[in-house]
Amino acid sequence: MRTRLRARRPWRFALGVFVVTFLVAVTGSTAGAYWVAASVSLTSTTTGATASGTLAGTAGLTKEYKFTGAGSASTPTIAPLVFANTGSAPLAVTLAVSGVAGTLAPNVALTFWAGSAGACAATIPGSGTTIGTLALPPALPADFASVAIGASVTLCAATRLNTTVAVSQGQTVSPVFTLTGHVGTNWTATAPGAAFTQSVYQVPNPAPITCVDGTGLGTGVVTLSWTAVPGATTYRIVKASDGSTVKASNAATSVTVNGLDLGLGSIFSPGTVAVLVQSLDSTYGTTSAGTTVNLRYSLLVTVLQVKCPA
Amino acid sequence: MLALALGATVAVVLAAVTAGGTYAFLRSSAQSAGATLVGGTATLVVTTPLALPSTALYPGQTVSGSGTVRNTGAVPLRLRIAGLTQSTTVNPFTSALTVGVAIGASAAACSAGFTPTWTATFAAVVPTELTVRLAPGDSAVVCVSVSLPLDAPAGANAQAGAGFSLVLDGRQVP
Repeated sequence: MRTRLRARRPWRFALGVFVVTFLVAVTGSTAGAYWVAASVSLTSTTTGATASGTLAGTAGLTKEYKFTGAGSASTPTIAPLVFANTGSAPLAVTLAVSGVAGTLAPNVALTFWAGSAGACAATIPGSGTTIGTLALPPALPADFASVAIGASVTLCAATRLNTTVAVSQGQTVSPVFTLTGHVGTNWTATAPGAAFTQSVYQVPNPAPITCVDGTGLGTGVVTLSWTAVPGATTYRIVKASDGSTVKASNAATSVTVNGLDLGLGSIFSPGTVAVLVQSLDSTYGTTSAGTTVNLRYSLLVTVLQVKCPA
Repeated sequence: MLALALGATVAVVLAAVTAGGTYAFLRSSAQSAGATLVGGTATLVVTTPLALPSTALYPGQTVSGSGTVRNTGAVPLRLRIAGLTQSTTVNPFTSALTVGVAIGASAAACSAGFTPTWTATFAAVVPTELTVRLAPGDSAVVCVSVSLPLDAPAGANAQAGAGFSLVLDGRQVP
């Protein structure tokens, strides 16, 4: 059968032989002819950078506000804060302030401007500053956007109380300034500054309080006394419950209190009543929180008696 | 039988004509025999080692340098990147690195910065032929860059560097 087909169509058989032989010749020769040179290596070493920095000088913002008049007229506290890029990558620096919860931080004005070589002007410049508060710090100067490797930049920071001493007396805040250097999307170098405390003056409490019972039958008085408090101009006794004045001593460092002073005339059973001995300061308008004394009272043959703490 | 002879003859002649160059290699190989290969007919050597700046790499930074390879064999070669290896322990820094390669006009051109025609990380390397034909005796300046991308992970900060090798070979071309 095959012989017959070949005889009839010899060109088909020739074509088949041609295709097979051609493909073998072309594809086979290519694969076998390449020479490959032995490999060589280009070698080197890369070094990884470090992002790091330090912040110094924040302790210079420690302050007790103690001034008369309006805060805007008071002398600001100025301190140079120095950020040093101690790593091997340039850093873009941002600021965060923590520890500013409470009522004082929003009332402390914070001003920034660029210093030089770790020093700041003695007064806040008229221009080139940014202003905020401890609670909402202002923007950093432009040169903090890129701090070169090994370089230091100086941030001049000034704080001032926006209120009066009387309004903010006794308040305290302990902020922590943290400068963070950024390079790339994910690298950071955190440089926390030392915590510092700012507070507003308040005249101290009188302490300790000495209490002496009155002597003799039917005596219903006690005498409270204390040592003089620096800065205090007068003293007073108030009820702890409602702050109402029991008795004022004026400038004296002792006072006598009886049951009627305490409003105990209608008492028919023994008990205690807490009073506060407070200092008052007329210079700055402050009043101390007061030192607590728990006085006892009782009835003896219908005579009201007041006693010192047991 | 005549058809068999005819088909085979035509096929061989056409194959020789259409693939003439390749046919020449085959002949050349046959004449040179094994002794030619052992003697380094297809041979690459590094004439100038790769020199990269020692600058520490941070996100967004690239260092560039070059090395020179020479075809000291007897046949023209096309350079091929055969591999990329690191000699140091893998860490987040080395894992984030990107190596770029291109053929440069000069070492100075490489150092000034160039656009790689091939890039890879140590974790993913695809052997690739470079578009350069080295005739016997010719040299090629191979530009090499190492980059740390802007989004390098935080863990790559302050990590040890990487020693690495860019492995090249050459394939014979017409």
